[in-house]
Amino acid sequence: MKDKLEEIDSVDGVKASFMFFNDGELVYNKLAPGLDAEIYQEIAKDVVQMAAIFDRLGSHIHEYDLKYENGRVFAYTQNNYNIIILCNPEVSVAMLRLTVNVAIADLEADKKFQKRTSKIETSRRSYLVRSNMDPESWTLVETVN
Amino acid sequence: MSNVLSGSLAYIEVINILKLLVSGDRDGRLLLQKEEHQETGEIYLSGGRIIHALCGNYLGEPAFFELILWNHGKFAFDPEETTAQKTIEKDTGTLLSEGTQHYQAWQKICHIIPSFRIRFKKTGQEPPPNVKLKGKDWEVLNTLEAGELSVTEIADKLNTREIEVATIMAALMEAGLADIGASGKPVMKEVVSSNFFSNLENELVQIIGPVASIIIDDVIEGFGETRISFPKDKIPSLVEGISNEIYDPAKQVAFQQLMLKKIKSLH
Repeated sequence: MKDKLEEIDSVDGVKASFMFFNDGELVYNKLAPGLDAEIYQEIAKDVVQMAAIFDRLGSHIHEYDLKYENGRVFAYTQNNYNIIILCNPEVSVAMLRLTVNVAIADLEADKKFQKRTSKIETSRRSYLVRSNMDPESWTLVETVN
Repeated sequence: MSNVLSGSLAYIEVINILKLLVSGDRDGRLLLQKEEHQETGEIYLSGGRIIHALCGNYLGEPAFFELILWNHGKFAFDPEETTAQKTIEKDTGTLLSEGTQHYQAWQKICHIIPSFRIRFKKTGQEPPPNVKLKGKDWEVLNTLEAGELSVTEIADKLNTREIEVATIMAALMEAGLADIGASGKPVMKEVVSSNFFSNLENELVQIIGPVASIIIDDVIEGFGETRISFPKDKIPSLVEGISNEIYDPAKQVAFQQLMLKKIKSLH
């Protein structure tokens, strides 16, 4: 898994990437400057909640491109895991997408990875419970309901 | 408008379209359009004779000689569009023959000067002893005294055709007297070798069959480029564009895996 993250990290403009399984496990190679594992968890939780809301709306989106003033965050949400990539604004999106597609294909062909993910629930619903959300997000979820 | 002949310049040269229209004694207008700059050009025929051409600020023969070099974009021939204007007096046979020579001359230098918009600078070196510069060569070189200029800008200054300036500039570069300027460098991207496209095509033929070449050219054209001028840094986007045309997900990933390796080997 880490070797695949390393390949993603090697794309020009990528600061760091990490994987977040739906059961809460976080896998990463390196931390982006100024960030720690706790912040990775927070980012991952936000991404999964966002994906869970879209799942509920019936839109199964697999690629999210979140643009910020000083960077971009790409999130690739698969059935039971998510790849989150922190980038500079000028990252080559086509190269990144190509690398991620190949990394996902390699991961999913890997027996160990298949074994690991087979035990994880594919639904992200548990991330949309009130205890897991801040009041603002919860209000949004209630609107969707 | 009733186009009887239209298509992409990626597949047929302007000069060959004209030869076809001339041999058919056609009347009408050949409209050419470069997509990326929204530039257009027109060549009019009457009874199979080329009588009028316009392109930007050029009219007549200069416009004709500019337009025959266009190798990407679209063309459309409309037999109902005629004109009373006559800006070309030269015999059409002679014009086509000169046009063919110009096109061939351009093909020889386009790997050195892939665009008329790239800026050049003087290197400051003395001409090597085996290089004898003519008056026009000095004129072109001297325009670079004041700073970096593109072929288009030099042609405007000297009131000369771009192809003539480009040919001289290519010779000056080969003699080490001119080089691509700093402001031109970001525009002058490293281009993909023809070898890369042969490999790409061979791989794609294995996956999707004989339409591979058409798909590659369509995607390239979508970027407003040609195989000759395609920049290296756009390869990932090219691969992505071609991948989208492969409908079998397993074959799509196999193609991406292969291309990712090739891209990495280019660096």
